[in-house]
Amino acid sequence: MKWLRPADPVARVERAAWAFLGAIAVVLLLLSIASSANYTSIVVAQENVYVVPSFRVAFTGIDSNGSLEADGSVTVTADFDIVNPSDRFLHATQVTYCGWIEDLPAETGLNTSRVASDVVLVQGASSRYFFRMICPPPSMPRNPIPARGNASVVVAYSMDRRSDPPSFAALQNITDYAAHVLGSATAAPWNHWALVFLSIDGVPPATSPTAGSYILKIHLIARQVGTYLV
Amino acid sequence: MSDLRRVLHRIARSVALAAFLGLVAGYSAFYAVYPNMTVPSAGEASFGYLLILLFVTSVPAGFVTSNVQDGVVQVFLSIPFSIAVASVLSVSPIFIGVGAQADVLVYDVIHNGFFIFLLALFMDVIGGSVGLSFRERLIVRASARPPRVR
Repeated sequence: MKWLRPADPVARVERAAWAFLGAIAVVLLLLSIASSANYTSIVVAQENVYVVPSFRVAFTGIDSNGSLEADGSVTVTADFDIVNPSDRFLHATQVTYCGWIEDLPAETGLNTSRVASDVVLVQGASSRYFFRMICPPPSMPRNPIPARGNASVVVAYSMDRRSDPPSFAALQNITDYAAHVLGSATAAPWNHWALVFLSIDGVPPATSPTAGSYILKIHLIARQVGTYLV
Repeated sequence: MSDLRRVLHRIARSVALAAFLGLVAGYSAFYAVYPNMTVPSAGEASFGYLLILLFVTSVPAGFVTSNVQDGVVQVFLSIPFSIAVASVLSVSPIFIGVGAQADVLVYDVIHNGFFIFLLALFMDVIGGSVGLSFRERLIVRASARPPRVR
C-alpha cells in the first residue's frame, strides 16, 4: 500500500469522480430550479388568467311595429377580453357558447307551448323561464394571448329561420311580446354562458402513465362565464 | 483525535453522497410524475433517460464510496433526501402562494413516483456495486504495479 501516493491512479480517478459528481449535482440543481420555475409559472397561469366577457345581441329585420320579420335574424357577438398576468404565452383554443332568452310570454301565461322545453330558473318566490336560443358547436379560434398582456377573442353567433325554424319561431313570439309590452324587441333579457379553453404554450399534454392526476389537463386553462341553465 | 476525524469524514462523505443520490432520485421521480413541467419537458417521461441518469450517477458515487457498508448506508439514507427533493419540487408553487393543497401534491408525487424511488434504490445498488468493484480493481492493479524509480 505504500506505493499508493496521491498521484496514483485510484486517487486520480477518485478526484475525477468527485468532480463529475459535483458537475452532475450542479446540473441537476439547475434543472430542478428551472423545473420548479416552469411548474410555478404554469400554476400561476392556471390560477390568475381571467376572462372579461361582454355580449351584444343585435337583430336584423325588425319592422316598424317592432316585430321580427320572417327574413330577420339575431346575432350574438361575444367579446372575451382575456387577461393574462402570467409569464406564459397562451392560445385561445376553444370557445363554447349558449344563449337563452327569457320566455316572457310563457312566464305571463300568454303562450305556454314552450313551458315544457323552457329552463325554469327559480329565484326566491318567482320563477323565470328561459328558452335556449343559440347553442352552436364549439368554435376553434387560435388567438394568441401574450404573456403579461391581454387579447380579445370575438365570436359571433347568428340564427335565422333557415338555420333553426323552431327556435326562430319562438324568438319571433318572444320579441313580439317584448316589442309590444316592453317597447322594444331587444328588451327581453338574455342569459349568456360561455366556456373558454386556453392552452399554455410550451406545455405538452401529459400522457405518461406515471403522470399525476393533478396535471393531466394542466396544459389547458378553462374559464366559464355566466350560468349554464339546465 | 485522528480516528474521530476519520469517522466524521466518513459520515460527512456518506451524507453528501446520500444527498446527491437523493437529488438524482427526487428529480427523477418529479420528472416521472410531472413530465410536462420538468426541464426538459415532455408529454411522457422517458424511461431510458431515467435509467441512464440513475446509472450514470450511481457508478461514480459507488466509486468514491470507501466500502460496501458505507454504500448500503448511503443508499438507504438517500430515501428521505429523494422524498424531500420530489416533495419540495411538487409543492414549489405554494412557496409563492399559488397552487393546490400541499398534502395532495406530496401524496401524488410519492404515490405515482413510488416505482421511480424503488428503481433509484435498485440502480444505486447496481451502479454503486459497479463503481465499487471498479475502484477495487484499480487498487489491485495499482498495488501490483512496481514503484517508479526516479
